[in-house]
Amino acid sequence: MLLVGNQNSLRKQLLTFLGVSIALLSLTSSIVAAWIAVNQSRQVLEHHSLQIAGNLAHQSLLSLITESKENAEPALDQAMAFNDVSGVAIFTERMSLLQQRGEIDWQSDNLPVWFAEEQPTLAADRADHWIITAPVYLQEEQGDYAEFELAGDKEQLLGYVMINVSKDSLQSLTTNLFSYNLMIGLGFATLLLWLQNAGLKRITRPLLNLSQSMNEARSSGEHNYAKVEGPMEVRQIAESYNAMMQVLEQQEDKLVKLNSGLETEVEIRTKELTHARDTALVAVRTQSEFLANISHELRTPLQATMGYIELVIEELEDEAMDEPVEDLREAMRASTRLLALINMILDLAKCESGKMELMPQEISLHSLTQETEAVIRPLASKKQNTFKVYLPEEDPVLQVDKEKAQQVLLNLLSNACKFTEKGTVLLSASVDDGFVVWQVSDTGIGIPKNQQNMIFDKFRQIDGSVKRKYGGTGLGLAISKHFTEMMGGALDVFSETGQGTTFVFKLPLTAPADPVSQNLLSKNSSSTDLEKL
Amino acid sequence: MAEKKRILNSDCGPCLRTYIVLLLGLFLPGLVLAADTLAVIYPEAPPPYKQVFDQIVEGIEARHPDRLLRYPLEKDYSRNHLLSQLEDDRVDMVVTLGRRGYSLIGDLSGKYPLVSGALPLTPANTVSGVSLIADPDTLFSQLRNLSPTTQRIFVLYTNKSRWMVDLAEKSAAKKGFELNAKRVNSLSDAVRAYEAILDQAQAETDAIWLPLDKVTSNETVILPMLLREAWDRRLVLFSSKPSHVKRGTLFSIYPNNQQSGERLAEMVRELYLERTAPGVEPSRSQNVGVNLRTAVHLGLEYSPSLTRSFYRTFPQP
Repeated sequence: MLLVGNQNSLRKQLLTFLGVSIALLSLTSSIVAAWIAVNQSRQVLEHHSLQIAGNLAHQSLLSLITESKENAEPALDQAMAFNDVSGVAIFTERMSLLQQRGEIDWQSDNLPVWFAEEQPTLAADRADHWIITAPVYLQEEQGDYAEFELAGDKEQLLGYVMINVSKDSLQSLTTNLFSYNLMIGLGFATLLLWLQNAGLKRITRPLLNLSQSMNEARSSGEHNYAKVEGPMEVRQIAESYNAMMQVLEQQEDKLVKLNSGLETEVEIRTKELTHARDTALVAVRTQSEFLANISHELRTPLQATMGYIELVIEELEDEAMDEPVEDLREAMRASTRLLALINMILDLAKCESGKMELMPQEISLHSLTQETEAVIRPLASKKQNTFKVYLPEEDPVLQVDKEKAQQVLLNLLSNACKFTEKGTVLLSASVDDGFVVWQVSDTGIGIPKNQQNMIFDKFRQIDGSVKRKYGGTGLGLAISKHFTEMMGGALDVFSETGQGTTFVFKLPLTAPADPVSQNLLSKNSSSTDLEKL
Repeated sequence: MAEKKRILNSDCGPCLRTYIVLLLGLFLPGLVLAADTLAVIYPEAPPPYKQVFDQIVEGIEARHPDRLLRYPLEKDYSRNHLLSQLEDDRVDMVVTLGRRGYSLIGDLSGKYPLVSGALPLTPANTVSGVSLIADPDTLFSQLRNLSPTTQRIFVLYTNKSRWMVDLAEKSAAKKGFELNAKRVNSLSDAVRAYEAILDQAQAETDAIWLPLDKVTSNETVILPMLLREAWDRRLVLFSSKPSHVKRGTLFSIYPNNQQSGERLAEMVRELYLERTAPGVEPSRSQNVGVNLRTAVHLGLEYSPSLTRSFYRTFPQP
């Protein structure tokens, strides 16, 4: 099917366009030619008929002069000899019929109108015939030149003639002309279409070959070269395509070489990175194990020492030796701080080595919070801070590692109490979308913006003066961060220097189903922290 | 307005010419008439008809070489301007030629001695002149030469052509022909009369004469019929109208224009001097045109010398 559309080939589109154009041209020219021919034939027939009427008028002179029917016969015979003349009649000057031959349709009423003209004329145009009339004049003789005559022309009306001209031949001619012209036109259009099809096929073959080459190149991915042939434009396209293929081929060769080099490079780098990672993990684990071992080894004699100090204090008190007791108590406090530091280092080491385990247990929000409050309240009052606790009315049961959650809260609250003097420390709890959220706010010294992202690092405090002034190991927030992430929660800080600090501690109401993954998470975090170290 | 083309025959100017005529008038009274002014009024015709008028004027000039003024008339000439010009030119005699000149007769007659030419004049016309119509005597003379066996001549005429038949009867009797003339009133009468003549006419001895008559020599009805019938019956058909020879009549007489002009000059002089109207004269021309094909068909053979004497022959090569 020939259609003009983007989905069809160029040859089909051209063929369709040319075919339709030629068909229209052929039809139009056939119809116009037939119409012109018919019109000309009609004019010729009319002119011919008028001439026949004029001749008949001329030949009817004798019959009209003599008013003899016999004299009219030769003129009538001659007029009837014409193919299209189906009837003739001669009328006298008084419009009475002198002689008639053949079929002719006239009424007396028509005659004055039909005979009004002074020359042969088409008196009536009927569907299937014409009525043509002509007056019959006897013209006085005129010499070669009027100056040699005494009087001018004089005409004497003798009568009229009428002929009936059938249109059968004209109608037949019309039908034949239209049908033959249409047939010839269509035949010619078909022949031209066939020739054009062959010509277009030949002309567009190079383009088709080029298109096929391109399609094959696209489907196979190979760099097929097209044959350079056909018209100039197609040759130019083929040459451009071949040049493009050549460039693509060269570029692809380069890419292949580059790729193989890159793969080798990546492989080498990957191996190096893997090795470095493994080395780092081993180092971290070794470090943690070292710290755990050291802490354990330190804690045991320390605890023994503290026990002995306790015994000595008790004996000295019994003997009322207060002065050495006070010194021993100072030694005892120092030992206690050292033990706490060792414990924290041990916890941190456990976290980083992945050996810290969660032990979820059910506890109400109020209980957990109130137990924490009881521990912190004395600490808060040391620096004359106001300690406020806000709990929600609802008291959901939490499934958390109580010890670690409480340790996080204690760390946060103890920091708040430590860095706030004569201010307010606020602990509030709320439940939001499956999470319990604690906020620990203070009106203390605050944390500068540029240091807020470092406070969760191990052994980091905002600056050295802080450590000197407020003391502390710098491990509390790092451990709190580890614990929070192990429990599937989050710990964030919001602070303005001199305005105070707010920590938001968020835990899921129920413990994570896969504590191992949390351990892994914790391990990864530890790795990150180690990397930071 | 018509272009007035006034031409004096003398090489000298009009003033000098007038002066000389006056001097001659003083000393030679007998020659005064020869110096009277003759005006020729004729149509400005295209070729070849111009030649006819020129020949007539040449004939007039041959007889009246002095003081001949020519007035060629355009189709839209001014009649009043012409008349005033004639007065200004002190014209004494006038010759009109052709229909355009003939149309001035009403204005000129009574004022000037006047004759007309180059027209088929008849005695019925009030003006004198030389007619284009050939003299029957000339026709019959040529008939005797060209068809020696002819004895009887049939002719039909109407009132307008009766004068010619009167002349013909005299000439026929003189030349030994039996003239059978019949008057008709209409074309239909003529057709029937010719049918009767054809029924009784005999080849070799009888001839039909077509006078210059628009009824009895009708070119549309009569002439074709007679040509056909005469050819079939081998009858001699001759005509007073020269153009009929070309169509198939045996012979006719062509006017002699030079001769007509000479005669016109003589007639107007007669009228001017004698104050008597010479009337209308037929053409005395002897210029015969012969249709040799018709002659051969009729079995007539002419000697070379006779053939050379023909003014025209047809069919023309």
